[in-house]
Amino acid sequence: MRQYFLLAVLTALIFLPGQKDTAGPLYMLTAIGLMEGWFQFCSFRKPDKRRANADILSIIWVLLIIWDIFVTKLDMMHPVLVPAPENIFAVFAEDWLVMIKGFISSMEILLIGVILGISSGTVLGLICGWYQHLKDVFFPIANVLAPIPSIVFAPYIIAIMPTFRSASAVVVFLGIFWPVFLKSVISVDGIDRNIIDSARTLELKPISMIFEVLLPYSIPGILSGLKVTMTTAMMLLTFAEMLGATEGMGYYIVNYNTYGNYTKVIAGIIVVAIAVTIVGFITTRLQKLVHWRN
Amino acid sequence: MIEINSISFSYNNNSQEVIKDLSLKVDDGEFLCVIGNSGCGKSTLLRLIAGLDMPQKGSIVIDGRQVTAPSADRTIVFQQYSLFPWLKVLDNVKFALKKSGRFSKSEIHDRAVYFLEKTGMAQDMNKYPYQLSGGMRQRTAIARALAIDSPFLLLDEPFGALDTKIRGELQELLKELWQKGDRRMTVVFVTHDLEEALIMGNRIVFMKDGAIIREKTIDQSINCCCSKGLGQEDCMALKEELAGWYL
Repeated sequence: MRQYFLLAVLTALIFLPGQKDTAGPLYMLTAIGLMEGWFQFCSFRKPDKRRANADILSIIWVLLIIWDIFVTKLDMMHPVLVPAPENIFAVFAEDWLVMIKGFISSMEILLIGVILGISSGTVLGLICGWYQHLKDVFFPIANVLAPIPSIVFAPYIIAIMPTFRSASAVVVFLGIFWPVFLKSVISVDGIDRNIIDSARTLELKPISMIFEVLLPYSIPGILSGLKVTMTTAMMLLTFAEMLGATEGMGYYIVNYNTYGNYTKVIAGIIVVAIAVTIVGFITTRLQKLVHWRN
Repeated sequence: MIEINSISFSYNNNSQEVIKDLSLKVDDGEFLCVIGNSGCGKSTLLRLIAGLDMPQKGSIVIDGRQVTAPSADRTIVFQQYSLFPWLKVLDNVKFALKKSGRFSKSEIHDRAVYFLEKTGMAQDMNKYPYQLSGGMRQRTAIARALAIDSPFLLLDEPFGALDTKIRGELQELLKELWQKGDRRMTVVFVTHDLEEALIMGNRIVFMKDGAIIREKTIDQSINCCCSKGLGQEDCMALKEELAGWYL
């Protein structure tokens, strides 16, 4: 009930006149309606989470109430750095097409970098983990290269790659490849020796051992770390886009930051947060595709 | 025939030898039971015969060829189940059959189903290993080993985790499969259960501190009596004799 009370307060507040000119209540009301609708949907699907969801929504309503009071109603905050919430939600209506295009562009680069990073890191890591000599050679090299943040290489990668999009994909790829490679090398040592011995007695060729035994064994481990991998990839991508892209979520934020349009900057940050949430949701679903446990 | 010629083995090349100058011959079609205290080297011996480890001294020759690597001709069932967790029960058995290269596609499915039924796993064929109890996983591992029909079958306390009823059924099944056909498979069976050794084996060897120090040939009539609880005196006498080896 607390959340409905706060919702009522917020709704009433939106319609009260304030000291600051805004884009009007429509877009903010729409956003509030969507959040409430999402809450109802989630609570319907998982009734046991209703109370926790209601508390989350209450926190959001409280933040919006405080924000609206201090910015729109009393105009007590910096006029440029702290925009009115009504104006921020109006940006979604104004720039929705640009945001969607930017989201798609970012997701394309992200998927290319992540898929290449995970697949090559896993396969090469398993091969190196299986052959002791390769492990002795490449594991120390990887230990040196892996801790270097790939964003450090970004200016150089941008200079040598033909397009900015390919450079961004390479930054994401490098940020994912090394940790996945190291994890895969280490995972070979951790495999149940009875499973390896069972496979050895079947006289499997090395390529079969790697792709039919080591790889399926390592999949749960890869997927369990996928959420962290994707979050890292999103961070690298957004950073890379800020360095010179012409589209994408990171570009949107840095572009309007240059013009001092913090209304759009904050709207862009909210879009990134939504994108990260969607990616996290998808990765959680992917983890459930693995029906076995090691 | 398995010929083990004066082999010695230690793990990680350290000074403590787990197998010491061990020699043994296992004739074709023999059912050899290996008994001994924990840590005497029974499981290690099995691993050496399977080719999973190599002796530092001596050699193991099977059918005239020296063992240098694992082979599909020597199937091993480990003490701890060793199923592939990403494959369902049926697929675990079919995978091994497919990789053995001995069976056609239709035979693979039929053999897998047959041996899973024999080991009481017919109802659970579409489950993953993590959904099974320890005993059920071991039964699946046994079904997989039996289905491959290798000439040499190596078993390391395969029935230890199973309840009495299932253990009895699988002992009967193993004996039945061993005795069936024109060519008997050669079985090396590690167990700590003296009664099981008397039921299963036609020869028993006793290991201590990495060497074989005693052996005894067992008549098939004894196997039958011990398994059916008949002729208790003969069976009990033998059991006491074997127990005396441990002292």
